[in-house]
Amino acid sequence: LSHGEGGRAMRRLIRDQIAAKLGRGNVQLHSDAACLGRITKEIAITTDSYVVSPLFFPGGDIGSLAVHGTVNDLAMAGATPCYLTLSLILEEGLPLATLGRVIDSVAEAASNCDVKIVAGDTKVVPKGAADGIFINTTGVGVHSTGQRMTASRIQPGDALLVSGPIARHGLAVLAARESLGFDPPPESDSAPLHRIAAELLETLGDDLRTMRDATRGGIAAVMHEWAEESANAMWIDESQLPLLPESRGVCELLGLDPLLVANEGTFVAAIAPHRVDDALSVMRSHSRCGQPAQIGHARARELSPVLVSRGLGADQPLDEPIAAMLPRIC
Amino acid sequence: MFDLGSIGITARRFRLQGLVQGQGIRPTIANLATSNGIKGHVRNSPSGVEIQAWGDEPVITNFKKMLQTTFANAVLRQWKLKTDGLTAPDHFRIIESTSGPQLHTTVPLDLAICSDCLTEVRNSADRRHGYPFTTCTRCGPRYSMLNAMPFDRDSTSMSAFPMCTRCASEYRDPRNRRFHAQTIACPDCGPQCWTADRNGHTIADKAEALQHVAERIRRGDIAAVKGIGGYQFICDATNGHAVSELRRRKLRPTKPLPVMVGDVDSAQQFASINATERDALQSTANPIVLLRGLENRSLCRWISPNLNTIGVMLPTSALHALLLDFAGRPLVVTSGNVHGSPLVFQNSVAACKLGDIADVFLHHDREISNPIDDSVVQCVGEQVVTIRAARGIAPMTLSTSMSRPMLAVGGHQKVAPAIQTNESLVLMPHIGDMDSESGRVRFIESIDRLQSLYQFHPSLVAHDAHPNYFATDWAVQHSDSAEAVQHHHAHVAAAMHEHQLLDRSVLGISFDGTGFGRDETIWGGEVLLARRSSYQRIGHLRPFRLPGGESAIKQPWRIAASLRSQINEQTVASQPLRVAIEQGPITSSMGRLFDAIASIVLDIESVAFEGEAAMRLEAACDRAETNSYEFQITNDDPLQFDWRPVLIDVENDLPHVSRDRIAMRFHRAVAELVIKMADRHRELPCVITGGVFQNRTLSELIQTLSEINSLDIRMPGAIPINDGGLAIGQLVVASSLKER
Ligand SMILES: [Fe+3]
Ligand SMILES: [Mg+2]
Ligand SMILES: [Zn+2]
Ligand SMILES: [Zn+2]
Repeated sequence: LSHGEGGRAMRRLIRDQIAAKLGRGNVQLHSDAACLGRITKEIAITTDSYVVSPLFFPGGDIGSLAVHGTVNDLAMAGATPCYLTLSLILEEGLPLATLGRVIDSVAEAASNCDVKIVAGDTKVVPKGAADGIFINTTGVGVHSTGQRMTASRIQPGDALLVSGPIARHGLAVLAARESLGFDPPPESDSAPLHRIAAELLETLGDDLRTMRDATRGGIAAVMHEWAEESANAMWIDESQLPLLPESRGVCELLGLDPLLVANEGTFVAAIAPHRVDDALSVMRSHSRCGQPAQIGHARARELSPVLVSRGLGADQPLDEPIAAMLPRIC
Repeated sequence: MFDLGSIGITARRFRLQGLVQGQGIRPTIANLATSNGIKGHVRNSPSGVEIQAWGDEPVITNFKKMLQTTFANAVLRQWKLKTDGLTAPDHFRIIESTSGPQLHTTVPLDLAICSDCLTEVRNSADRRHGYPFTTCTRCGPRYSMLNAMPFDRDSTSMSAFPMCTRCASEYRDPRNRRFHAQTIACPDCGPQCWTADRNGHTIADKAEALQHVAERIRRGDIAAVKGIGGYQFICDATNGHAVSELRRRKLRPTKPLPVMVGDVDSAQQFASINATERDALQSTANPIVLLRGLENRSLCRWISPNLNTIGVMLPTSALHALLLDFAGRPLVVTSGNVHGSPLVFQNSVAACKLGDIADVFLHHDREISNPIDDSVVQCVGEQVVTIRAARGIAPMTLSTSMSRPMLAVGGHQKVAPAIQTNESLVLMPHIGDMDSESGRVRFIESIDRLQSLYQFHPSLVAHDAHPNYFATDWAVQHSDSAEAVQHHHAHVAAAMHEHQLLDRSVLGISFDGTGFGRDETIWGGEVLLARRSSYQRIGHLRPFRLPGGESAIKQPWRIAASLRSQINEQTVASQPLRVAIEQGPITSSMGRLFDAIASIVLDIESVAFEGEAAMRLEAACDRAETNSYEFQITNDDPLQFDWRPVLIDVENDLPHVSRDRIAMRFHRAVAELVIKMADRHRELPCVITGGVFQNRTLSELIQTLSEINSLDIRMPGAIPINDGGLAIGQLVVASSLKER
């Protein structure tokens, strides 16, 4: 793939390598703007950009990630995902075959997620100006119910649930990038959450206070946001965190706290305490890996926003690290 | 009205400043005055002890001289008193204190029980026989039950206990040793104790309470006893089951436990004690003194496993002395807290917080206003070195020429704040680590308490430069004016204050575990050319990486792997470990080098408490060994102390030299490094500071070598050289920065 080719080459690239794979009836190639027709419900819209190295990793690739990530943002807001846009920034020299694999993956993920890709853009930039492929997707969805997900509804006593084993995506990418050579290699949890989110919302109604996919910054980042928005404290019992044995090993060796590692198909939900069993059974019926769990609860804030019980007797504040990994012990 | 001048009467006002109140100063003055026929009064005021003295001119002059010699450490000021309209008093009295905005007085420290009170509680004919709260003007709690200055009964927890007639007459009698003893009490009017189970049900009270607890301890139970500064866990130090059970419940597998005995002779059964150590044990501060343990001790082996030191203290109060008498054996006496949390000090929460650890409780109804841990010291040569400044030692008041009200918050572990106010620096008692929620809550409560006790509002808050410290965050959020002070500069500045070198340049050798450096790496093997307001990093340990960050500190084998990888890449066992090393934070920490060498020499995989590996390496030292390894000092700028030759020699020696000798050779190498650096800068006084120098073997080597080489190396002293003394250095640096 080379940068600066004329309009005809670019048009051919888009037509043959991208549009063809995404399927007829999806991308409206010949208009300046896609027409989505009339939408009668309340609309949700979100956008996100995806950069990941390596482009392919156990359990996923940048293509599926770009679809799941945006679909999940809609799903976690309580909306049903309908449409996606797809913008590609390609680095000069990227093999066409690589682009092909990524677009195939986008297409497959979109069909799994029941969304249509309705508009797109492609740019090729000089070598070094991008790292292989950068993708931006914008998602449009509709709200089927009047309920909106907001962390300000979290009350002391509410249960905090996680849908499955944590830290898988971050570790999979790290292991692939650094050729850590684990056998089997850790796999990303990248997956769509729109069905499980919809069923949880339907089953729990108002008892589902809010939910959030724990992407960058991991569970910790979500807990900090919720603590701030609800003015309560989020308390986590470390011993209840679902964690695959291989993830535990990698985290220990590298000194990583699994609470801070990214997920791409695992989410946290805050629910009324009497609905824990109902919520867990919905999660169990969907999760690929099983192992949803209650990991803690919300409580009235004393001092710190997020607390972790690490089996040491005293609760420890989980600080948002400013300078990551710097030891504090003298 | 008399013409006073014509009959030779002089009236004068005196003020004594910088005195420690609560040590029977006013009664002493009253006795001095009365025995010389002087009339007038003495009272406490926020500015000091105020005296009005009426008498013949020569008598007053003589009185002034006596005040000067009796209170040699205090500042004495005097004024002529305008007597117009005043009537000459007919006797000398101690009168009500006044309170006001300005505080010049020093907050009184808690004092260990004196020999007179001990005799009384053991004398079956005395009315205070067996009374656990017996005190006098020379002894008893002070700071721990103080709510406001000056130190008067009404501003302490004793205000809840009105004196009975007999106590009141002792209090008013100038010949009684409890004349004006603010803490005076007896079984009829004073605090009481009782024994309770975990559910708060009373088992025994008054005289039976102590006997019951002692009996339970003899049977192997663990007691939670409310002492002077907080609750303490107490069990039989000769009972292996009891001690290991305490360790299990307290989640404290190996960290040494202090032992309390009735007197020095009893301590000599299991520890060697020199004259300096004897004095430290018997001092009114009543600290835990770290002693060298004897080979075959009568104590159980779980007191200080793998170490050859043992922490010992004598009875703090009558309560402790009586408990020891009843138990008839050495007792483990350790802080009543949950692992990682601060000391518990309130009756209302003790049973719920400590109920999983203690089998039985001994409560009392005197409130603790300021929770305070036991202090820890060790003796190096003839110097008493503070390891933890708490009960009896802190608040530690030091003098300064600065007056701007400033607060310093210390670091992240062993946090102790300090304040600068009215030409004093005051190091507050040790609070603890900031890793737990409860530790942070206690920090904030402590700051509130010190602000009200000292009527103090800082215009500036000094803090460490580490971006992830809780105290740093707190300082920045709670002050319009916050000043970051580099960790090792603060260590060196505290030592400059200790040795009165504030107006000079010094060579500061600061070896510790972790401090945030100006280049955003972790420092800890630093040699600084320092003044109060600035420093230059002229040398440091060759940097290495900490695989897994903080987890490397708990698992020193990781550091060893990282060091070995710098000598031979092939030694790294796996790709993940290689990545962990490559991505680990960079450090030049001497504390971490000790950890790694200990891990290699003693096969230590992981440690249960900070400093454990280094302490075990010290314990292993064969002190007869005279050979040494050698750090190579490079010609870089700053200089680097290359540890690779040391590591190579250690590994070469391992197959055929005893571990004890290897350990000693390493200690000698570090001592020699200090000596070499001091020698390169002979023109400057050199201070050594940082937690690494709590290593007594290392300090003593440096002291000896320094004398042989005629170097001016200043050894650690009253201000803790670990992070417990950091706040003093932060104040010194921050105030000099503001001065410019
Ligand atoms: Fe330090
Ligand atoms: Mg997103
Ligand atoms: Zn006494
Ligand atoms: Zn009485």
